[in-house]
Amino acid sequence: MAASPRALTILAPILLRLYPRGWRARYERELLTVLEEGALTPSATLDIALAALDAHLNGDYPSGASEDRKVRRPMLDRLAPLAIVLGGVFLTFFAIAVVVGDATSLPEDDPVVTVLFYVVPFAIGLLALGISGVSVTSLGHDRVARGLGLLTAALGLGLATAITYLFFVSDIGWDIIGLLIPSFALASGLLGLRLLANGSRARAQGLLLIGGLIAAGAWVVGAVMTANSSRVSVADQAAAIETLGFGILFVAWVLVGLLELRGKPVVAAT
Amino acid sequence: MAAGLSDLGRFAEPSIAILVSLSEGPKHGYAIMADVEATSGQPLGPGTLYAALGRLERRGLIEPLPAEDRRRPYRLTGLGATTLRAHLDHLERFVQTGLVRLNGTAKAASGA
Repeated sequence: MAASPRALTILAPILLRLYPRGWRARYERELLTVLEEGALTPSATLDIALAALDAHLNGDYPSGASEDRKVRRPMLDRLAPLAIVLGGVFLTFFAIAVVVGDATSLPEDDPVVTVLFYVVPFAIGLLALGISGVSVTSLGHDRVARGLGLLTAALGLGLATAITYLFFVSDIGWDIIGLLIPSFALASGLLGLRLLANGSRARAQGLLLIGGLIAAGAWVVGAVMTANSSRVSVADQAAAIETLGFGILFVAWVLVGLLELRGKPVVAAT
Repeated sequence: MAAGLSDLGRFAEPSIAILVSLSEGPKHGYAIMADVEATSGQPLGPGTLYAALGRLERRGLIEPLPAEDRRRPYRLTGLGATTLRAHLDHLERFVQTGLVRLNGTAKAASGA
């Protein structure tokens, strides 16, 4: 059942607007012609909506004219560097604040301070790595890199959700988070190793994400020291080592994001 | 699956149908859709068509020709023809193996 001319006039431009600008510059006129020839049925409408989503996520279409090259990168790919920089800056600030300042003196009863110093930085930072993981997953053709990207994304997004939920709803969830954090760091480290073995563009990201492995190691050392000592001074050292590990990871994210913003893609080009 | 088609994911089957359609000669979008439905019996949505065309063009398996009015025809490249031939040869061997085994099973069943 083809759409009426009136429906075509109204619906076709809306559907075509769902596609990325670079895609439209290349194919919009052709697809509109196909629709005008009678291809705009209800199932075709759904098919186009799904294909537009695919174009945003995968960007697997040829670049058109030279002015299209800048806008051909899919939305996730454009979002990832900004998210990584924001998340990295927040979390680096948090790590430094804990090491340099006396974290225990923070007025934790104040919900505003609690949110500012704990929940917001972690949520943004973990979402940042989640987004970068999704970006690697959706764009990479290497199956192992895609799998590790998916793992990183899942852990990042899952951890962000868990922290936000547990912080406000429960006071017993930190042991679970303690298990998730090193897993998350390990996933980003493994992704880094895999990217190191790939092409030159991916090597920069691989090198930086190796910080994930260092962070995981530092976290484990800190956790073991905390568990084996009842002395406050050792616990403080352990906390400092943990924070240092995360600081390395977070700085790595900032550098990856800055490289992306300077037009040297290391997340997308795997 | 032949090299060049292995990373197309859910667009692999539509891509093969498009390559088969273009192996007859250059066609524009609507003509490809109509031909694929006529030859395979499966309708090809316009969104899927252009998602697959983009992938095939990016991999150098097809190429666009100058637009005629607002329609742009596509044609198979040399690489596209080689890739499609390799894929169809693979399918043919697979079909032959299946038929031989099926016939063997049928003979055994009738002899029993």
